[in-house]
Amino acid sequence: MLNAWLDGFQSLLHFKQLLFLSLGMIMGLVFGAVPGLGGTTALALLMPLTYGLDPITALALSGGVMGAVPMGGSISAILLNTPGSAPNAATCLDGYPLAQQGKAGLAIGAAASSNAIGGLIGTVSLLAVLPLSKRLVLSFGPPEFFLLSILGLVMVATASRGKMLRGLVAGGVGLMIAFVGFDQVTGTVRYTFGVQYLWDGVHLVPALIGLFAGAEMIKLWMKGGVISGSASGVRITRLTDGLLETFKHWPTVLRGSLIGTVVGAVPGVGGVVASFLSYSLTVQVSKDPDSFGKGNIQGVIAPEAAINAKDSSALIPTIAFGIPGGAEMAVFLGILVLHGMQPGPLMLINNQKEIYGLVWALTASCVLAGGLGLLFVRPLSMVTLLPAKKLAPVVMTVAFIGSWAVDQTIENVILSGVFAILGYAMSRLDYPRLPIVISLVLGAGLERNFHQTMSMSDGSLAVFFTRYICLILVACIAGALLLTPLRSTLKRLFPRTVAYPERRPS
Amino acid sequence: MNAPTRRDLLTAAGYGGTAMLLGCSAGGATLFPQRDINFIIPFAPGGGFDSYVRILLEPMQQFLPHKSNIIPLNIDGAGGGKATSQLFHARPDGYNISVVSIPGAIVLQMLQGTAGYDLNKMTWLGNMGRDPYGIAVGADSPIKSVADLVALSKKRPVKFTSTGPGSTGRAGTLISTEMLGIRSEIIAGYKGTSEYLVAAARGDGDAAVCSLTAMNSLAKAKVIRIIASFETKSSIPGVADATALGQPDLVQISQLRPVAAPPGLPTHIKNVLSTALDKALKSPGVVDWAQRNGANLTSESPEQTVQALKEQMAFIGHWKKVMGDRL
Repeated sequence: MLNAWLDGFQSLLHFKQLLFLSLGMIMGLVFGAVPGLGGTTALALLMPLTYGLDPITALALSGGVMGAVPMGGSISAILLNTPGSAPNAATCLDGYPLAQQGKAGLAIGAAASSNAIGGLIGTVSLLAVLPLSKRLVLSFGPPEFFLLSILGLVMVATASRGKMLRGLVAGGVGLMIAFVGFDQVTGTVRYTFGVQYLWDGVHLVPALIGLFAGAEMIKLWMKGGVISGSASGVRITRLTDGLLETFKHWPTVLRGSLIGTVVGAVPGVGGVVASFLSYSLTVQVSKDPDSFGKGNIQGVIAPEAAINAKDSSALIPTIAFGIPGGAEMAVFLGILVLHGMQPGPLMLINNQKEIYGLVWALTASCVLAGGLGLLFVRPLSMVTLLPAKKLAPVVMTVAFIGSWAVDQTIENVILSGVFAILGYAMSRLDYPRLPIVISLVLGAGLERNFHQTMSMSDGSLAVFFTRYICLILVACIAGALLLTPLRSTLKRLFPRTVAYPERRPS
Repeated sequence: MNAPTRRDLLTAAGYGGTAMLLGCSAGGATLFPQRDINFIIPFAPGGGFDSYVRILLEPMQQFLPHKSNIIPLNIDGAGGGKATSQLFHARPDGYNISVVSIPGAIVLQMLQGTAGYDLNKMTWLGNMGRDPYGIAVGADSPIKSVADLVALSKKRPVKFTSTGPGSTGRAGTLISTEMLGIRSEIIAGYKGTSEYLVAAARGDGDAAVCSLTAMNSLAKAKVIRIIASFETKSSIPGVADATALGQPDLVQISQLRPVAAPPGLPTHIKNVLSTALDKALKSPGVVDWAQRNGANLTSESPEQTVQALKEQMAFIGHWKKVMGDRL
């Protein structure tokens, strides 16, 4: 395996491969930063262009894109409260408050370094997990996916700190929206009102664009002024502080990376679960959980480390079984097939050089994109100083074009508009928006996996308690549900004598 | 010189009119295409349909009489029905064509009527090939043959993993098990063939029915085991075929990939597109790619395609009557 690892590395050390890797990285950064575009669009656009390239160059280009997208996505999440892609939504929670406090540099610096380290840890973990890939993919069936989705929904509680009831309402609405469309199990069409566009459900990316970019820009435009409090408040010098913060909080990075690796290797779960699980767990184990959501730097580090670590391990189900972990991996699967590589267990044996070349490209892109992102932090942070009346229309237009670009339908733009109004109303009425995102992402899969589990077990719920991984997941759900009330009870019974460090200003 | 009679005038008008029509037709043929052509793919990027279309784009462009781009357009949703419906309602000008999943689209039409589309009215440009189906079980499964499945189904329904209603996979599973006398139950909702084959290997269900092309890679890696092939003569040594199973009609259960245009497409445009499709499918680059990837990319003429569709419709229609809403 070591030989293949080195062969893969050497195959990238040519001018042509490095050039295409860099091109992919720049494209990934740009597409990641523009809400709605993301890695899927970038790879879909590149797919026909790779036809004339040799497989290693095509993979270097793809790896460059995939490795850089999360960094691009974190920039818009931090500066504009608008995640470039769905997994970056968790970064908004603390990244945007930091930008509002004039600490955009600190947040982007931390995002860049945690991205890079997460990517590196993800690659090393991938090496460890690869020999077990077959067992891992075959261990997760519908009961495990269902419980994993429930664990994700439990995170609604974390995403709604202090607004539990409103969070649950938002999560419930999100679940209802997630059930719109053609049910793949029963074949019934639900709540589409005869609109064919809704047959395939409410499309996630246009909905997210509306909910975040649209709503945030309406809010900003109505409020006027600038995002950051004052010009003097944008402290770009905090960039190195941001880099150092990641190293200071190494358990958070490590935890996030490991969560990303495991979740990424499970087909069909995706980056949103990885980033929210990492964020949620960091809040749970923190000594000062109340500071999250108000600009705690760990709230940026935790999801960003998980997102990039997930990218490496998501290659396992894609390559080993031809099962893409998400839309981006589905397009990547197409690129593999176009270049004569047939995804499946044999690919792990027949195309080792290409696979490891890709992993190297992905890792290099994670690290270099972080560096490139840092180079542009200064001009990018100035976005927070632009007058809202000028910034909002521009961002809104770009975001809605991104929405249209997903599959070139005007319905996407209308959907974004509807969700923008919904998001703005929720913001005005003080309802958290993230529970809707979590429910939208997990809802359809949750229902499908429950149906499948019931078909497998002839309707018996005992299946959730007779499989090892299910038992672990049930314990995790119970733990996540009980930890917060348990801590509150302990806090009440045994009041601390040592005061918490002073909370950061919100 | 005699003055022209009324008959002469009518004859001249007839010839002139015909010449004008031919001229227009010929002119049309030389004018098409004048802009980019959308090649609609009814599924998300990355699957078999997507790869097959994308590999064809460049060679197909070369065989058009005028330089035009053919742009892939993925319109995913409703098991491919969304794209087919969109194509059906598009203008018949040749600038929108689509690959259609058969028999999935036939099943959807039977389930939902012709409100979305009517396959009988579409213009068919050719077929990109057909994949025969078969049955697979997990590599460690105690089931060794179709006889074992029949025996098991006498004790309880045999569970087959599959995709959702209206899909080719589900229709193939239900019809083949009915033909073979296997009492079956579907665990539906998997997103694609790879996913439901792995699900069968994992033990979510007892077996899976899908195209042999999709099975090959997993079978070679000993994740699954193929126990039946729905070919007249099995291409896999030691695996029972439709003839050996005593059900020659199992051959009808296969994945077709015909290419369609909206109803009422003018003949000269149809000829341009079907010729380009045929030549692209026979071009050395595509043939080589298909061989390397074990893909069944072959060319069938529009007439052969229409005939194959009629046969599929009759076959599915028969089983719809037999099985009712189960299908």
